[in-house]
Amino acid sequence: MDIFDFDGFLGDVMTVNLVYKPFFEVERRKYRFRILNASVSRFFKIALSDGGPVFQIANDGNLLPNRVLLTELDEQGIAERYDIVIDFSRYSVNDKVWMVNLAEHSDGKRVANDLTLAEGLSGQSADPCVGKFLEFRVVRDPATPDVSQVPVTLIPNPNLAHVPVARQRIFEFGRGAGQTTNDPVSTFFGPWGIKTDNGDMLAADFGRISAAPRFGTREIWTLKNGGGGWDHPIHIHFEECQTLARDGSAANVPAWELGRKDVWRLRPGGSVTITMQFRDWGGMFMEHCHNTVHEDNAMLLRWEIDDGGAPFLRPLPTPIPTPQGVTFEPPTDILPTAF
Amino acid sequence: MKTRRSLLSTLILLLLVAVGPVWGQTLAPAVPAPVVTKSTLVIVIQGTVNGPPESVPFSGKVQIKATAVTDPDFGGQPSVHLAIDFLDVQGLGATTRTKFFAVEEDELMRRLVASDRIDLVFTIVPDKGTVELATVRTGLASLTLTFDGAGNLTAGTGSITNNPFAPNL
Repeated sequence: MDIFDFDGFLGDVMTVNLVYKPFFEVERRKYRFRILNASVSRFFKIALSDGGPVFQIANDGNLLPNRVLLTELDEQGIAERYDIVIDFSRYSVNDKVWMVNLAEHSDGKRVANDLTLAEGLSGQSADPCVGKFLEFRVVRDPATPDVSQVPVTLIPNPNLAHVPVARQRIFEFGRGAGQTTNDPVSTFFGPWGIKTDNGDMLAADFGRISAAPRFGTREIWTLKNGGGGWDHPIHIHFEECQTLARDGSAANVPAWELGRKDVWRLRPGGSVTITMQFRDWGGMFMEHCHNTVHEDNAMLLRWEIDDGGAPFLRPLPTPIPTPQGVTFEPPTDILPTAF
Repeated sequence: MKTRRSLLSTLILLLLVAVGPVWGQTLAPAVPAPVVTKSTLVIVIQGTVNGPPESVPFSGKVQIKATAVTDPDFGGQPSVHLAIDFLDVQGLGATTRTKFFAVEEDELMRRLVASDRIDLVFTIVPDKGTVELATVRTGLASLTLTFDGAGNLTAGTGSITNNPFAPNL
């Protein structure tokens, strides 16, 4: 592991809730699991060791419109959250089944290969985090019958069709970023960066305003991956969005991404189109890659909602934290398409 | 000493004036764009899942959308993203003649190679009635996919057998 590798770095020990290869005693009933990828640069792809079925019911912060029957989950980027239901009543007491990671990495840039279950269980992968990582021990019948249900329909998405689209923006995430500011606190240097609306690829400066949508409006944003050698899990703070398209087509959005989300894997050379309505909370927000090495070097931008009426300022001053307290400075830069 | 300090201060100031704008507008090297190749193929798949409560011979089609991407920036091996979807793969139970569907939707990132074999576990759900995780059976679909040098998915075959990872379920 090289922590100075700005492309991303990988750990070599897989833990669950900080424990290496734990076991979990379960009853023969349904359990709901909330799975967060809390890695620095690693993606996961999770299945059960017997290929057993699960329902995925939520993605990031929201229940899906409908439950999705799966035998393995999609790749899970850093900070993505998947909620699944496993029914252990399909097993007998004393059976064991494992959660298995099938996403094989060779570096921190992206998944090298999503393995099949046979490949993942073979022990042949050079990636030490591939294979079984969490053991379920089916130890007893439940004390009372499990009458829980997983409804077919969960939470429909808010209907935004009646809200006109005020603006479309494009954010391209890539390498080779430049810098236009030199603030000693807010300016950062790449190599990673973001192009806004086909402008320059810029490294992070949280004093720079890259987008300023208007309070209450709806916008469509396209998030693009400018490279083929890496993936980026892009996280947008504040508002959760509906996924309209992948690579320009609604048909490419899988069923488990139809709920509202706040992190999207762009895939190598890929794009994701999302929509959101900016509601009640004015303020300053970030948009960044959640490969935290990319984020720290410096794939991050600031956007803000600042026209909710008094007492908001437009543009907002930049908070500069110091040991003596926070001071405020004018923005270092405002991109021409921001407002 | 006063003169030296003054000269030194002037030199530093000149240096800052000269370096400031350069540091403030760092130029970025151009990163080459990847080549993205998209192709879609629908292949026939068939085979039987044996075992209790009854054997089910399945047949139908599988759609595979392939997106191959080069890596000119790092010079790495091209990857291919596969979106695999079963299209109306169904069968009748050998004993009860109950209709079953084989259901599978998955997305995989694979190294691009000329021929790639992918085994996927799928679920078997009844035509009517509710799907219960406790009783859902599974089978195994084996796909062999062929790619040309540009990353286009050009051919594929598929077969269905028992899920070897869950021999008793």
